[in-house]
This record gives sequence, C-alpha cells and structure tokens, in this order.
Amino acid sequence: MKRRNLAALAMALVMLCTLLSGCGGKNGSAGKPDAAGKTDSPASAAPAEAKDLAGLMDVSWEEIYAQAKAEGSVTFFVWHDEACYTEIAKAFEAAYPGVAFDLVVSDASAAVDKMVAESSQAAGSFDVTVVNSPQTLLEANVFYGPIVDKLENAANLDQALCHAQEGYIHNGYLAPLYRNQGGLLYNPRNVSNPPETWEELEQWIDENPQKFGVCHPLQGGSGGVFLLAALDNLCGGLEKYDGDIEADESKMENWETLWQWLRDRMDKITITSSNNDSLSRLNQGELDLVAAWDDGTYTAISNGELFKDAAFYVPEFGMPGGGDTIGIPKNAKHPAAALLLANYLTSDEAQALINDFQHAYPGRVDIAVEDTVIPVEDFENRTNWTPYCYKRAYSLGFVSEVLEKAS
Amino acid sequence: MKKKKRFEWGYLLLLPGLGYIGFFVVMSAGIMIAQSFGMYNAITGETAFTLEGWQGVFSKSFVDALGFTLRTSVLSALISIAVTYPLALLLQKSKARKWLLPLIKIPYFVPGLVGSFLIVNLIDYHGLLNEVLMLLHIISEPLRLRNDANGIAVIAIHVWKNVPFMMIIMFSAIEGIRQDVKDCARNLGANSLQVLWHITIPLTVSSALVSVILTFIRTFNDYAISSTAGPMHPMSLANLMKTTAYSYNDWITAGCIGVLMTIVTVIFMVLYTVLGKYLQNGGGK
Repeated sequence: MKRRNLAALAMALVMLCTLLSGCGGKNGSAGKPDAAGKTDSPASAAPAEAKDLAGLMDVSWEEIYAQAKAEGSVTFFVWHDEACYTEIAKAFEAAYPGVAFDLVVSDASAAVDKMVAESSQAAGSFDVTVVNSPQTLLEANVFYGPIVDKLENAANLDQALCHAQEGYIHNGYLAPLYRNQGGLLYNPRNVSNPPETWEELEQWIDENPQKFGVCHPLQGGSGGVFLLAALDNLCGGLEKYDGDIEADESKMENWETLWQWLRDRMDKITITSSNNDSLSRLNQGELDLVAAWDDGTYTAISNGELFKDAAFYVPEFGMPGGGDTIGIPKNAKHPAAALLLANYLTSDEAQALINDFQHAYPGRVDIAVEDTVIPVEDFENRTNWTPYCYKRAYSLGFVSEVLEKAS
Repeated sequence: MKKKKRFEWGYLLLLPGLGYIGFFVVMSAGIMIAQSFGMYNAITGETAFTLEGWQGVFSKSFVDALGFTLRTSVLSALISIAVTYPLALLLQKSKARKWLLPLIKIPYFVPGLVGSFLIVNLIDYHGLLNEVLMLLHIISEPLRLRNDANGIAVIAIHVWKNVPFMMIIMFSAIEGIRQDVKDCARNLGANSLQVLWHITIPLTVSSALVSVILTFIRTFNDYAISSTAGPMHPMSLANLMKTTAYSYNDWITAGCIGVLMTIVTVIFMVLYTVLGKYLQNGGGK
C-alpha cells in the first residue's frame, strides 16, 4: 500500500511540475542567445555602458548608432501597408548596416492589448510602433517621451500632430509619421454634383435616403470625423473647445441640436460597421456618398477593392484631419535602435517612401507630395479635432442620444 | 470502533486537472468579478473598491443588448432544433446518410468568423440571395439584410452553424432507439406517425432539450458572428462588453457585463445538468 501511495505522490509531483513549467512565461529564457545569436534582454544585448532611453536623449546620433549595432535589431509594429514597410525595412538596413529591421504586421487592437499587458515588464515585444488611436496606450503609460525634440527633423514635422493626436494631448511623446484627412467619397456615376455646403448635404441626404453612409464613430475614425463636422456646422464651431482638458458641460448644452439633426435622419443615413465597410458598400452600389479617409480610399482603389473613378474631396463645410504617429515603448528591448528607427522614419527618404506607397500626406510638412486622392487646395477646408474629452462625449452621445433613442 | 480513514495520496493525481481549472477558470473569473468592483484595472493597474460599475451597468444599451442577445439566442436554438429534428429523422432512414451526414457536419468545423463571412456573401447587397430575387423579379431593389436591426442575418448564421452541432447529438439519440421497440409498436398496430409520436419523440426529447440548451449557451456568448453581421444597435452582450472596455475604456462596467454573462451561462449549465440527471432517471416515471 505504501509503495502505491509513494508512486502516486511521485506521479502527482511530476504532473504538477509539468503544469507549472507549462504556465511559465518567456522569462526563463531571457538573456539566452536565439538562433541568430542575438540576445533577448536589453541588459545583455548592449555593451556594459549601454544607455537607456533617457540616457540616449543627450548623446550624439553616432553614439546611438554604435549602441544600436550592439543591440543588433529593432522590432517595428504596424497594422497596414506591409509592402511599404518592407521597402522601408530594406532602406533602413542599407542606411544602418548591422541593425536588422524586424517587421511585425498584425491587428492593431491586439498589439495595443499586448503593449498594455507588457507595460509593467522589463522588456516589451516592440521597439517602435505606429499609433492610430493614442488614448489607451498613453493612459497605460506605455511610451517613453517626449521624443520629438530629439529627432533631427523635429522642426519640419506637423506641429499640431506633435502636440496632440485625435485631440489627445501627448506633448511630443509621439512623432507624426503621416497625415490623413477626413472627407466625402462618392460614386461620380450616380452623384454629378456632390454637396459642398452643409445645407447642400442636408438636401442631398433628404433626396437620396439610405444612400449616404457614415461609420459608427466607435468603430471607425471616419464616423467621428463626420460627427465633428456636424458639430462644427450645427453647434457653433469647434474653436470654443480648444485647450479644454475636461469636457465643459456649458459648451455642450446646445449639442441636442446635433442629436436631433441625426435622429431626424436616422432612416435616411446608413450607419456602417467600419471605415472599410463604408468603402465596400460604396463599391457595391448600396451607397453613393460616404464619409471616408483619404489614405484608406487610395489604398482601396490601388488594391482593386474600390472602383477607380471613386472621387474624394474635402467639402467646403469642413472636415477634420489628423494623422498617425510613432511611439517608443518605455520597455523597448533595443532602445538605441528604436530611437534610430524613429529618426529614420521621419527622414526625407522614409517620408518619401511613405508617400510613394500610401499616397498619404507625410508627417513632415516640407516634403513634396505626389499623387494623393486630394488636391492640396482641399486642405483649406481641413478643420482641427476637438480635445479628447469631447471626442468621448460625442462618441458616447451618438449611442445614447441617437442610436438608443431612435431604436 | 470506527477506523480512521487514511488520506489517499492518489487524490494528488487530480492536481494537474484541478490546477488547470483553478488557474485558468476560477482565477480568471475571480479577477473579472474583482474588476467589476474596480479592482485590478487592466489599463491603469489601479485597485479601488467601487460599486460604480454595478450602479450604471443596467443602462439602456445593456438592456437593449440583453434583449437582442436573448432573442437571437432563443430563436437560433429553436429554429436549429426545428430544422435538425426532421432532418435527423429523414437521414436516419436515408440510404445516402453515409455521405450526407459528413457533408451536413461541415459547418460545425468551419470557424464562426469564416462562416459569418460566407453567409454575409450570400445576404449582402449584391449577394446571391438578392441577385436571385432580382432575377426572378420578386424585388426591384436589393434588400439590406446585413446588419439588420432585427438580427435576421445573425440568426441565419447561428442556425447554419448549429444545425450540424445538434445533428451530432440528435442523430446519435435517434440511432440509439432499439429497432425491436419500434417493431413491437408496429406489431401492435401503430402507424409511422404513431411510432414517431409515442416512441421516437419521447425517447429523444431529452437529447433535444440538452442540445437546445447547449446551442443557447453557444449563441448567447457569441462575439464573432454578431460583430460581423449584427446590427449597429443594439449590439450583442459580448460586443457591448468589448466596446465598453476598448472604446469607452470602462473596464469596470465591462467586468460587470462579463459577470452577468457568466451568471446567465452558469444558470443554463445548471439547468442542463439538472435536466440531464432528471431525464437520466427516467423523467420522473
């Protein structure tokens, strides 16, 4: 009997150890060389005198490159335009021999989850990441900063984006990578005279029920862009919100006008599930006019997902524009290489490549722009975002005041 | 004198299994409950007890989402069983069942998201359904079936996905009825309808109920299908939970929604277990 119990105890221990080892994270292998001979942890990867991100802010780019070479590689996350970033990777490796460019292309929200989950760890998965919606990452204190002033082309970057993204103030923690612009996209075979003023848009929607599409503002930025344009035109402009950190209730008192305008037209406006869904429905002929982004439109046309004569414009009543940025997580494994890549991404060469592939306006304002879906003169109709506190208010208001009350 | 029972070391063999359940199920559920009270904030890492989430969770969005989720889940389960029962009966008698049965099971093995895209292609503005109806001059303009407010597309996809799942249960149940019981009924003068009503249905109704409950639980917790084909408002509860956490950054209320979804699932799991035991014991006969 005793022997049987001992055997059972031994087996249980073995199985328990197996379970516990299975639950173990990657930490056990930290610092060990991988197949390519590179090491995993920043401490062992760089020379003994290797500096962290704070220390690198005061050293020359030559020193940063030397440390980056010792680190060996840089991991860059993006969720779109793989071909563009593959080309940038080649150019970066040619410009900085000895620093390998590891490109990770995956789902944006999954990457946000990953970065937030890893934010308290010593080493994260990404060294540089493209940021489309900064709020979650900044609130989770993921990024090191400010980094913009360290970059060689800081003065030529879009200053509004250097300060805030989608109304969320980051004060230089994120560097502009490219700009994008909200606008209206239409099928010229069905729309001969697209609306330019707010009154013309109202008339067009009334005369063409269910042919105008707007993305749900919580599921795609083009929806938020349209809501801002509506707020601008129906509730007395956007300037009064500038500088607010917290939503001022007194400035939101007349928002009922906006909600009522939308409620009155809910049976005439089609709410789509994403930016791409708007384009897809336009392509299918279900919709004739949609709120969209310039870069998304160009990509869809290039990929054959949208008919070639789809026309994009920024109407006279004004629509906001913004852009996507890059950030360096505080726990980047390769801090010098991360800084080197951030600097490279804002260089003439990388910015020109971004324009070549994405046909979006670059993050730099001094780079000549070729072949985009919107002419430069349309930028006159570009308006700014409201501070983030209002973005939250109008996005939630759209659900509670429009969708819930209309249902 | 009663002999003291010795500890059986063999129970330790249960540790890996119990450890798995304890670690991944009980602990994660515990963290979710704690999050619903403001502890373990996934974003900020802050921990502060609050009832704020529970005070605000029963908003109109939640009530609408609960109503939508319950409606689509109940209808999907009922329509699925209404399709599966006669289909299983027909297949049981069909000579072609050897190759028909594996074919019918295919949707079960197709991931929900893929299935959703397949069906969306059928019901889209220029999908096959609209094209056929237009060709037959039944409609003059394509119907907008995708993301419809009544969730018809969601129910259609759930039925497509769950009929094969139910078929696995129902076909086995019907196959399990001994032929001599049916022969006996026939010898006593019962016709086919009477055999079905007095033999087949009573002997398989327990399996039908179990499959309906399991399908309800599967559809109640669905995220992929309702996010691709569901309406913009109301959302399914799983979608509302995701939106609340990621778009509103309100992890506390998201935790509350998760807890409520788990409670509903547990209630139905208990119902499933009780029903299973009751029927196993002969349904009270």
